[in-house]
Amino acid sequence: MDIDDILQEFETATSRKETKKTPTTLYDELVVAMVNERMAPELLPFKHELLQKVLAQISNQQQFLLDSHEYGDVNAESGVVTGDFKLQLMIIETDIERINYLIRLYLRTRLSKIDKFTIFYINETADEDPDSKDRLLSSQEQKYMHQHFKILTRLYNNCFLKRLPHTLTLLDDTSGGQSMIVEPDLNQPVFVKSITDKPITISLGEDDELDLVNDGIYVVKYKLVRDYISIGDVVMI
Amino acid sequence: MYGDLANKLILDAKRTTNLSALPLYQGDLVKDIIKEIQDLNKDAEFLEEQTDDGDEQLKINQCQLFVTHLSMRRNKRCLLAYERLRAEKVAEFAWLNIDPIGDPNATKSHTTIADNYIYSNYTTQLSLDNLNHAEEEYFKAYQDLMLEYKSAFADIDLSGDLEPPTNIFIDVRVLKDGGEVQTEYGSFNLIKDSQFYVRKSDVERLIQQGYLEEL
Amino acid sequence: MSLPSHLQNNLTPSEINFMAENELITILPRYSMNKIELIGTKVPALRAMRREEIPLWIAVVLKSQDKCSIVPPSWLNLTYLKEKYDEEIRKPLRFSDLPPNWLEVSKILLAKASDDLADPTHQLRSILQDLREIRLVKSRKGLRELNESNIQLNGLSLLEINELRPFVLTVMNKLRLLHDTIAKKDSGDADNVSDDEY
Repeated sequence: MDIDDILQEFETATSRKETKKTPTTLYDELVVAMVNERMAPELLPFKHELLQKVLAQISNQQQFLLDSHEYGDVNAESGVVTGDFKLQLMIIETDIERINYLIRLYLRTRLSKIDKFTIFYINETADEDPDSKDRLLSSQEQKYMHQHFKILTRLYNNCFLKRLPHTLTLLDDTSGGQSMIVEPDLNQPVFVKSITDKPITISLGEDDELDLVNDGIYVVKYKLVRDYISIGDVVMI
Repeated sequence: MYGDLANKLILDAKRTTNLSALPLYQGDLVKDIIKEIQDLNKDAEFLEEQTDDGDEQLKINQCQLFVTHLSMRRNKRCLLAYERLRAEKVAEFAWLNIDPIGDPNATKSHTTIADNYIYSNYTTQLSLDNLNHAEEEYFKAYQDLMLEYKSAFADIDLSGDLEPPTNIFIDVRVLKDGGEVQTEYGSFNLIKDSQFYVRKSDVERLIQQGYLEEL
Repeated sequence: MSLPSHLQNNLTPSEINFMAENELITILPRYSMNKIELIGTKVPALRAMRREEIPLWIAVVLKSQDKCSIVPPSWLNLTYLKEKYDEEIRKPLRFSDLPPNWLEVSKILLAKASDDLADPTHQLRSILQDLREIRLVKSRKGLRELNESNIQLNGLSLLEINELRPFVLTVMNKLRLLHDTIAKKDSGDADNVSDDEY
């Protein structure tokens, strides 16, 4: 193998890296997770691993800040603590705040969807294996959902349900021509971007197709790109 | 007309959607709608008992029975929609982590976030006097529920601002002389015209008091 | 709801600004500095006068403390932007190729590092404004082609897309309702514009 081959290999390797823009840092992953969650009409699978990693890192950084401030207090007189060190701590603190904000938004977006489609997700998750790694909800969310449903039911009961005729006291009534269970609308149009150079062809029904090209931006029905979002070839924007 | 009362309730809910505070509970209206449902139910029971009136009458009865059932269900849906909206607003307020109006133990209250447009139809005020007893209970239960959920995320301020953080640290200039200021990032002296890079939350009071200005 | 309705199915301009702040930018440090381990990324050890790529928000902090100058991205100068403007005029059916956060990044740099830019700020501002307007007109025109199943917006930045979002979604949802109620008597009716770029 001569030098040209090596160079060529290097080139193809780097260009491949450029075309498949998978999120590389925790930061990017978190932004994608947050935006996907915000834009998807349904609840997406909880990012168990990502959250675990990020939360552990936040707690490390917090500890580092605490230790550093203590160290700074002790050594303030001797001039050991330089301005640069302080500036670095400030950057670390800002970084924590930024991550904190992304997680806050991510989690609260999820809760708002859980609240919107409570009965639907209670049914959806009823048969899930509680020890599985791919549970749709985190264990805290699961608890929140059931407990919230319980106190809401109590509220409805106390306000009026208990005084209604027995046949009308159900909350998940699907009779009478109209279901009382609110479900996510998977046909909602969404804005997406393809981030893979693998060809993606989606069917629009009635022998109509649409090719999603790398970096292309489209507005399509959510359910048509749902699978590509879950494997990460398409992100929501 | 059957359904008119429920309509009133829905109009009230619609008006409430965009309010930053929760209006008074429509107890009388709710009571009247429940009464209407009970009356409708009696009608339905009566109609169901009528079996030997001949074919023609039976058809009329069945039709009437159908409409009666629809009316009852519609009323129930209206009651649910009304209460659900109120519950949502109560929970929304709970996330702000501030005290409601009329709470004798109130310590925290702030409305600064109400200035931001993203909160323009968010419930930023809650008066306990406007809640019925069950709603008050729900408010407390939701606060507990929220606290329990939050406890899993010790390092994340889940009730924090939903606007992206900007200017956590700022440059300030000293406007008038003062003493020494202690912060986590060390201390500095308030000497006129000197400049510092500091955490905004550490100096907000000094800015208000006119010692510092943000650059 | 635990999320204000203004944040549901929509991004705010300040969020888009926040995301643009995460983009990498080249700086020219004035002093040396130890590396910083962050949660999202890390800042490599800096050596005076040796270029490094770091997230924009950190570059802005260092710049404000006079620790570095910012090397403007290759597209942020009059010559390049004028070329792009001409391209926008020459090709009325497509958007010229600008980086995904061009509006936000240029706004931040004009505000925080104008002395590092090669061209006068007011001229840059005005060509950026021209570009923004011509693209806005184009995207509005493109929206005439809206149908209920899909549209394509290649080349638009996140901020530009976000401005179209409420309108596009409302129209597409209305079209969807219509489409669903009309009996599918003639499948040829449902032309779509997926192949046309504008």
